[in-house]
Amino acid sequence: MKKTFYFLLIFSFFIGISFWSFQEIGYEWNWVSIYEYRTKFLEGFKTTIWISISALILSVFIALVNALLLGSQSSFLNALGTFYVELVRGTPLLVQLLLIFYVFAQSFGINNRYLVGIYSLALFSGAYVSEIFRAGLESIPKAQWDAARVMGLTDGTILRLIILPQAFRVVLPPLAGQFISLIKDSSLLSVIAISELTLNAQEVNSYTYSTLESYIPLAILYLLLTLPLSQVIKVLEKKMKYET
Amino acid sequence: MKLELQNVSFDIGQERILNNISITFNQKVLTLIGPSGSGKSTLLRLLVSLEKPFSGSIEVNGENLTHGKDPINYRKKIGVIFQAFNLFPHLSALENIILPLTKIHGINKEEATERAQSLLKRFNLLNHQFKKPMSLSGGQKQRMAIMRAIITKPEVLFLDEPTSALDPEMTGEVLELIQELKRENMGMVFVTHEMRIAKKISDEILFLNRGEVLKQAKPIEVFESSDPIITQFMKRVYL
Repeated sequence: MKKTFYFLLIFSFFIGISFWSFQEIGYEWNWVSIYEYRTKFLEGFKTTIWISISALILSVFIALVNALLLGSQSSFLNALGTFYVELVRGTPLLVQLLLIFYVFAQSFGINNRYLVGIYSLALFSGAYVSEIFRAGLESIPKAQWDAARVMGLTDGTILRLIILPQAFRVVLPPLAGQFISLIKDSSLLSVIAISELTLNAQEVNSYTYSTLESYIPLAILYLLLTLPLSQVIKVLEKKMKYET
Repeated sequence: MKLELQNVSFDIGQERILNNISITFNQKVLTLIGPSGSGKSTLLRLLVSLEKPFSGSIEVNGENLTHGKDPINYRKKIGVIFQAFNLFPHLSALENIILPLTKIHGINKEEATERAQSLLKRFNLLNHQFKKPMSLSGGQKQRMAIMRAIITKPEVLFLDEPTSALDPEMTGEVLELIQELKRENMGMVFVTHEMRIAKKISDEILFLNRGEVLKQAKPIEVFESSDPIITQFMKRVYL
């Protein structure tokens, strides 16, 4: 309760400062012309939502497969998994997108930019998610495996009943951060002309020359996606707490 | 309980942890004692099939643990107690205890719960059945871990320093329970630093030193041994 109050207080202060700053620089608002393009924002918002959700689900699958590669006995598969993580984490998403779309996808004759966009984003995020999964699994003490093994449980059952439920709780907070990043990173898909929220806002800006009026709604719309996600994960975290 | 070890050696990296150990034991309770680093806990890990010997052979109750993959069937017949309890923190005490029954021995949840609850009642732990391990005291945790190990009526119970993470009062709680199990005639291999209980419940005591068996004999013979290493050890633990 107290926290909500302070949150609102800080929020009002932030709004106040913002209004004051715009007043100081004498910014002339032009919301009317922006309002004409409201459907453009809405369309972009919808695209961002479904692209993010698709990439998010796909990235979890990619991460699971890669976690298996990293944990496998074969040194070839190990090297493959490590190569993927290092390459993807070490280079800018922008460059990855351009290369994947204009070079690799074209050479294989794949022209659907939405498909390529979703896969690129998932591939990018998957590298981070697989590292989160690996860290989560490794955070469970070996003694838990020992205790379960000497009961006569098989490794698969131990993973399912003992290890994963504990690891899930550990990975939730970093996973939330990664998913929020993914939503915001989807804005980069504008460089391969996917008309998601950011590209549409850029277009509205070029029609109206009202830069801030185009971009402020952009920020608010992204917040509308990321804030509920944070909340959902927080509730999940609370539910998973061990105390009775 | 029948233990048969022949020339068992075990290395970790370059270091020899157990060297050429041979044991024959055919009674109820065998206690392993000896200085820290003498290889007691490692020997116990070999006996419960968590490690394989580097060389030599191990047989417990006729089951050969030397070769082959995970001996699941052997594990179903034993119970193991760890120094750090190793309860599963995401499950309640009751869920911890019934897990081996429902997931390994194919007993349905109602019956397993009933069995667990009557056991908990007997040892005065019933009020704590729905608590997660985090909200139990150390002594309660270890007693729950013992319940989890004995609910399947194991042929042998292996205990790896079950009280060394506990304060004296909680140690008392746990040792009482172990004595109760001894009265019920349960076969046990017991690694401990608690000499009084070792003396009281063991049929034989095995003194390990630097990975080798220094002496295996009746408690009284070990405690009154004139071997300088043993007398020095006894002096230190009784200080």
